[in-house]
Amino acid sequence: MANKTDDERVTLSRRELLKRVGIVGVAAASVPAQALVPAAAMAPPVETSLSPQAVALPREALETFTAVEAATVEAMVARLIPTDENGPGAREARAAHYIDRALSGALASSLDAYRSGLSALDSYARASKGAPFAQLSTEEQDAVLTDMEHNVATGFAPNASTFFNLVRTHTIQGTFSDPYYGGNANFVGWDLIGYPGVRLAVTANDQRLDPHLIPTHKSAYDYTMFSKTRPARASLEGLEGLEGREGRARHGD
Amino acid sequence: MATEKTDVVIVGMGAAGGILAAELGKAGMKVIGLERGPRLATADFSALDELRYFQRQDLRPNAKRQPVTWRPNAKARANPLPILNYGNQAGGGTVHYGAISWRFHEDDFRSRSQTIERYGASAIPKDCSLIDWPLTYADLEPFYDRAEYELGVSGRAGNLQGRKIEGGNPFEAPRRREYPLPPLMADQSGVIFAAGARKLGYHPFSSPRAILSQTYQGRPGCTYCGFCQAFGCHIGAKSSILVTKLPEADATGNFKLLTGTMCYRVKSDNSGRVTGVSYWGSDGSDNTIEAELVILAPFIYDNTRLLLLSKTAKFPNGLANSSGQVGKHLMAHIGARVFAAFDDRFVNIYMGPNAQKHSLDDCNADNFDHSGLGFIRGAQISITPADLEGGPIGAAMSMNPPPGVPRWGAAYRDFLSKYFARYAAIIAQTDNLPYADQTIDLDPNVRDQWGLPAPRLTYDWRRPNELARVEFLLGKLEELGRAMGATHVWRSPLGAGAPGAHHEGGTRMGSDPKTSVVNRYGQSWDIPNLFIIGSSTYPSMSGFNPTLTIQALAYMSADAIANRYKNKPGPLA
Repeated sequence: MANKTDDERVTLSRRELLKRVGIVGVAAASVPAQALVPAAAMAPPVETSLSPQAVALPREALETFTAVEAATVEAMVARLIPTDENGPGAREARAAHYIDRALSGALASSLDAYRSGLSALDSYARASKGAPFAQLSTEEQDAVLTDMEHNVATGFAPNASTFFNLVRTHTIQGTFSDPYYGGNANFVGWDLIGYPGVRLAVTANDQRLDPHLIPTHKSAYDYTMFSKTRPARASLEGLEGLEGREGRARHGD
Repeated sequence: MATEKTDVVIVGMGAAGGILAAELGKAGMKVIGLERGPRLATADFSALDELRYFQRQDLRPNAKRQPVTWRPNAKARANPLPILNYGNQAGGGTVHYGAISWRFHEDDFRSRSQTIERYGASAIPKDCSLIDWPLTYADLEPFYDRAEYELGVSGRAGNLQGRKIEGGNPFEAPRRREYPLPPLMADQSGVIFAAGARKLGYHPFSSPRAILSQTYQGRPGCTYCGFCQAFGCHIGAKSSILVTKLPEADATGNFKLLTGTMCYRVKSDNSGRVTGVSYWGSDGSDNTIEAELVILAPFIYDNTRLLLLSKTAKFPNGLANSSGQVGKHLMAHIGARVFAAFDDRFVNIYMGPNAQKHSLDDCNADNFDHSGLGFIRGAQISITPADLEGGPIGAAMSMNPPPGVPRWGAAYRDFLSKYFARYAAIIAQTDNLPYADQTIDLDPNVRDQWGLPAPRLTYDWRRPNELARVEFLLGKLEELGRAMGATHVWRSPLGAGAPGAHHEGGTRMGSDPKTSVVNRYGQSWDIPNLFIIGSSTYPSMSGFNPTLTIQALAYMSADAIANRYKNKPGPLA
């Protein structure tokens, strides 16, 4: 896409979008469409193998990101835990919404890292592939992310792999956390991996019989005994130090 | 600024402090407890929220406000640790811990002598500062027994007064009686671990835990929700100090708890006694407590830090430091870990109490012959979720995919979706020998929210003895995974040399005032009315988790203070 005009790029992006719709309708439904094409031009989802409740998720109002930033994050999380014929991913879980919300709350101390990281990501995408990250093909996006993971992408502070790991961590959180925090929408993340959800008691039978448990589809805060202990969204701060700790300090007691 | 007078002031209301507060209060001593965090209640805990408690560390110190720095050696620059693995509220780490409750082995208390007797002195690394404890297992056994019965520990005896009991740990030291509560139910992971271990000739058993397997002392039995490690128990089935000893301390009428307070100095006079402590209140006020007896029982860093910060003209190297030993011999557990995944069955390891569920002790301590192996001591081996916590975020963040599977993308998603309910981690929790150059001191560059210099750790476990032991253990873990019938078995990468869980040392106990800071009761050799109680006094580690031993030592010290020191203040040993 490096040498296309703006109009051609929009056209190509839309074609890419429609292609994705053909594979997975929900991906198009939640893409930040106005960044690419007028909303009215959006094709409705077609031929989807996904469950009905996963389709037609409305895009939430932004709390922290600009529309451009949101588009980039949406595209990034969708490649980290992608959506395809094998199942849904971070996009359906609304991981980007989780991140957008948390950056105005518990993860506020990571906001500067996102602002500079997303800007660096688009600069690197333009320089190496000729377009902002959100407008690249999935293959090109994967190539950019691979450069970031391997820390060969340039222009990031302190470096590309740190930002990659930050977003990877938050994508995992947004896909698999309690839905209370805005991600794991409709429990899609928990269903994806066969986690039957939080429950107050697990019976002896549950533990003995090698079962595939029936999902509860309940947030911890749906249990009345916890309704009084909801965490304040901004009550915690300074957590970016916890990111990228794979193979490092353990929590173990 | 307020000044109060009391018999005893205790800094830190955790595993040790809560026991001392209750026992000394019962003995009629007026006790004030200082706790820098809040006092929460069972109703405050919404368990089941992995993001809040595990990822966001809601029950642990804020690593930014209360930094602890680490450097691998004295030439490197120290940086703040990302995670602080201890408590930050009344009850301390026992509120959020996995509640594993071991008695140490007999030879854990005398590993120097044991090693020399069996393998010769040359088996101990030359730079290792290993000494025997100034007490034996038999000395501590009555207090282990009290801790198990007063707090509530579930398990099965393996050695009743020398008689081996089927189903318990055959390597445990002799105990006077059975556990107060039967073992917790084994989930699928425990069942397959036990079967695999037996194939290899090992002796697996349900790990002893301070979690009630049935109603006990008015608290309910565990409901196996699976949120223990990093969580407060929402029904109070975890036998934390918060729900056991603090209510007892309250009931004595002699106990006052001051939360949100930060002790910054232990006061002393020219006679060589300590006279009390200075602390900042939650409102920022600067206050003093005058006390006959000062007991330090915070997490280990703050013992060293307080002693160093409290230096005077009479004690120019810090309190209790005539030996020069304060801050030395820092130790931590090293975690060797493999993952086992099954194509043909579910494991559902997120169910049930989640830390170190089922264990074997065959490869721990000196329970096996180390001749020719190139290392001494061993590890507790257990089946557990990826990061001792069962939720999906913990699994995704802490389980490195097997070789050939990327960390993101469709193949990663497929890996998680296939194996989250079909994996288990097998860990070897292995000890770190003491070395004098593994230290805690005051960071000259980093200060905490109170303006105090941060504790600075100088530490790197990657020494020949430890590296050889970890490699040996990883091989054992892989064998276990295969014996369990796993389709895929792969190693977790070893981290940098940073300290893992269960930090110990810094104010070690000993028999010789020249090479140790405190005696067997935690009493300073230099200052008889100053006690230090907790794992900072351990002269050596065990492969086992430290908490029950901290608690037994607290009972033993409380007993000595109430029955001997109170009537005749002075050196107890």
